[in-house]
Amino acid sequence: MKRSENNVQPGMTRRGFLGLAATGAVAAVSAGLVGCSGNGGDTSADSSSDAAESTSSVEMIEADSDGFVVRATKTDGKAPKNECIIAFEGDFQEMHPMNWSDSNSGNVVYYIYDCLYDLDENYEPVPRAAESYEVSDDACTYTFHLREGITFTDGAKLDAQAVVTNYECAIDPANNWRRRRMFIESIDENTEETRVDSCTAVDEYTVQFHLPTPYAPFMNSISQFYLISPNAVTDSSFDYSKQSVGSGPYVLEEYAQGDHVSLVRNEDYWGEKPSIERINFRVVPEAGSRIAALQTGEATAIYPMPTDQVATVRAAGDINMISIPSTTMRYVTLNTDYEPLSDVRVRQALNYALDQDEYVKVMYSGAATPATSVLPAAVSGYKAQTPFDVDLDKAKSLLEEAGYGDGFEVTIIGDNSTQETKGMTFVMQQLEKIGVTVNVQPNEPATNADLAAAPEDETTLQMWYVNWAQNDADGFMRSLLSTPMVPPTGYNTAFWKNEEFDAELEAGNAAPTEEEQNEHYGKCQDIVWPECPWLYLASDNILLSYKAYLNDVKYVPAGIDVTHATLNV
Amino acid sequence: MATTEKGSASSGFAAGEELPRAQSPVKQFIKKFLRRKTAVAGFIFIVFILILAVIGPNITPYDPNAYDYNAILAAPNAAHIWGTDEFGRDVFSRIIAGTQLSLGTALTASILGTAGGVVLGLIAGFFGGLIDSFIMRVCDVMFAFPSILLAIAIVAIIGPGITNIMIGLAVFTVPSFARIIRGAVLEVRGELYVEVAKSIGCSPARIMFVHIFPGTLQALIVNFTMNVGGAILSASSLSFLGFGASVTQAEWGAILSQGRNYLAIAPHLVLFPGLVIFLTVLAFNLFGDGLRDTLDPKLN
Repeated sequence: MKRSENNVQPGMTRRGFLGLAATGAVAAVSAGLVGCSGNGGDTSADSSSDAAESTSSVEMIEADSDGFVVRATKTDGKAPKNECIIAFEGDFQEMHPMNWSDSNSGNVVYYIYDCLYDLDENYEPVPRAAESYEVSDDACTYTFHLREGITFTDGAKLDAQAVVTNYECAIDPANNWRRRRMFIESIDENTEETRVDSCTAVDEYTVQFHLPTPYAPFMNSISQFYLISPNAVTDSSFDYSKQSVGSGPYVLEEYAQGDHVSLVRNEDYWGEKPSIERINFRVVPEAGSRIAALQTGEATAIYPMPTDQVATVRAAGDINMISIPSTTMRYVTLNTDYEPLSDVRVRQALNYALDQDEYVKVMYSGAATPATSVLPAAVSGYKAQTPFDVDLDKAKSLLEEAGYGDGFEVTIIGDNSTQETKGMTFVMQQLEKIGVTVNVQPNEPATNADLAAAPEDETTLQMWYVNWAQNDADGFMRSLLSTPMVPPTGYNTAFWKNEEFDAELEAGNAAPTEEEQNEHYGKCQDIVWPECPWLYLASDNILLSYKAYLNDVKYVPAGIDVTHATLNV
Repeated sequence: MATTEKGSASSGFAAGEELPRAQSPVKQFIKKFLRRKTAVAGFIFIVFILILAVIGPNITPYDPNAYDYNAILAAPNAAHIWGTDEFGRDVFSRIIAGTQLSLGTALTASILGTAGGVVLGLIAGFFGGLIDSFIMRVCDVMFAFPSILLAIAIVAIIGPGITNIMIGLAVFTVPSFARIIRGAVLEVRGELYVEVAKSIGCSPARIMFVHIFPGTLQALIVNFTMNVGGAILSASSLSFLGFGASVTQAEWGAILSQGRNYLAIAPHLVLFPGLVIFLTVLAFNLFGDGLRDTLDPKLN
């Protein structure tokens, strides 16, 4: 019997080719050897000081006081036509103003539909469909006075009754729209907590919301409560991806999921008419393609701007790049039930060991702000704390006091994306300095969600590299640090419990004025900061690049705002 | 006189016409092998890589895990001849240090898989019948899976990690070796010396391992060499996909995987590990090719 598997005779040409390749291999190896022996001599004296002569090929992102990283030098360019094309990295998944969940869709909806009050770039409420509003002394009744004469594009009037109809549809469990959570909070599968008892029309242009208890971020909810024509909102067959019935400055022209959304100016808009005729939101996932589109003028603006391409933008000369502080906080939760993280001295030691400035540099090329509280500085109610400046001696002595002078081993989990894996590796490198061994374990996001949802007596969490974005202080701290929000209910994955903190948080929520609220929220931050339930990292910035012929582009909580922008045509 | 005559006769015979002396088979093999230049090059490279795997961690110019945040993604230069990665670690040092892990994984997996395959192949070939059919059908089932997919499935079930990668790779190596060895066994089973061993009452185990196994050695060595090349590629692929080495370990596939994110701005992060993997796999294949051509009498 023949050994059929191994009597295949290779052709001479193939062997000739392989031979050539092998010659190349030997050449490459000898090159490697030369380098090896060349540097091998001073192995003992290596370490990073050796590398002083080598330069990093990544440019640091530094913004000036106006937020500009790059200012265009050629500003006489003209837009090909009066159309603003914005290239996004992600898709626009849903055009329903009360059922979207991704922020990109939220950004598009913002142009088409009006809400009663908007949030401006400083997270302050600004009037939109309502002219003014009052809050009762007990902070439980919000009265809005609507602007008169607003009509939806189908001719229906935007009056108090329309708002009430919208509210009723929004909370209707039969609709089960995603934006229902503006008014209803799901505690678990069967329990719900209403934040609003009722919404009533006082007269034709006055509408009142009655809250069972004060709810500090209510205006935040209102800013996402987009009003739809009552004819459409009650019509379950209405297709929001084909047409729009809002009262906003733009109307939907065409929506192609995964590709683009185009909007045209609403010629009957009640307010100051926008100058730009059309807006085209395009999906361009590839970072390089986005940059190329911006260079050629195929795109007017791109979001997000890839952090490693600043040099390209600078070289182009006709592009502005801005860096805007965001409400995203990046941190590592430390399970305070897990020995040795249960000792506050250990948790502080970890924070003293980690260099936040290096984190910002390595992870975001400088486009981030080191954390100086549990809240990002952009969130209203933020109060600066004393940072844990790098102090290895102090970190080591704290570990020794806690009885872990020789260090310990701990596992960190996080998503298996490039950026998160890199972040966890960074944490590992930093904690190595004080003898703490970190095992990096990147998982599927769904796996992490399961791990994080395990109740306190079953959890295997030790450290979790994670982030949170929210623009109200109450929601931010409540979801992540309050006692009731220990998993599986919420995301207090540090299992940190502090009665004083909980009490201050409640007091802040119940306080009628913003000043009082912020005072309580400030105290919350004072309490939690030295307790170190987290390894504090940084808050990364939003990076946006646009052509110099686009003026007055803004970044508001809803996203990119060009309603007041102009194009040099 | 007579003795002298006898002596001179024998020495005369030795000094005279050379009798065709049997050359040592090893010498013969070496001589033939040396004629194949590409195979020799492959062999030299393999020896070099093996030495590197053993002493690598001691001769790296930098600590492979030492970071330098001031030299992130630096292009190849005098201080870092193959550049630095996203943490400012020296790529050259990491690749040298990674040789041990990458090569070790592939070799261990190949040895485990080969051992399993040899045992199953011997049993199937020697006993024949139902046992043979059963083993070979199981192997056929495993052949039906694309090998890398099978390894991914195994690793997905038993969890990621270097040890599990070795198991996964070993499992998909078993059937091909079982088949090869079974073929070789069928060839030698009918030989006279095996009949003799049987007739004097040797145990089946003794016949299999002492009498038959050496006869299959030739096929084994050739296929083992070829398999190592494939295993290096598969181990690197699995690490590339995030199943293998921990992201913090210096392993060729893992280095390549992390480097691909910086392809546009730091191509050296992908170029060098890719090149090293390519050359190593090539060297094993060339060496295997050469061995087969040298050992196979039909090709001479």
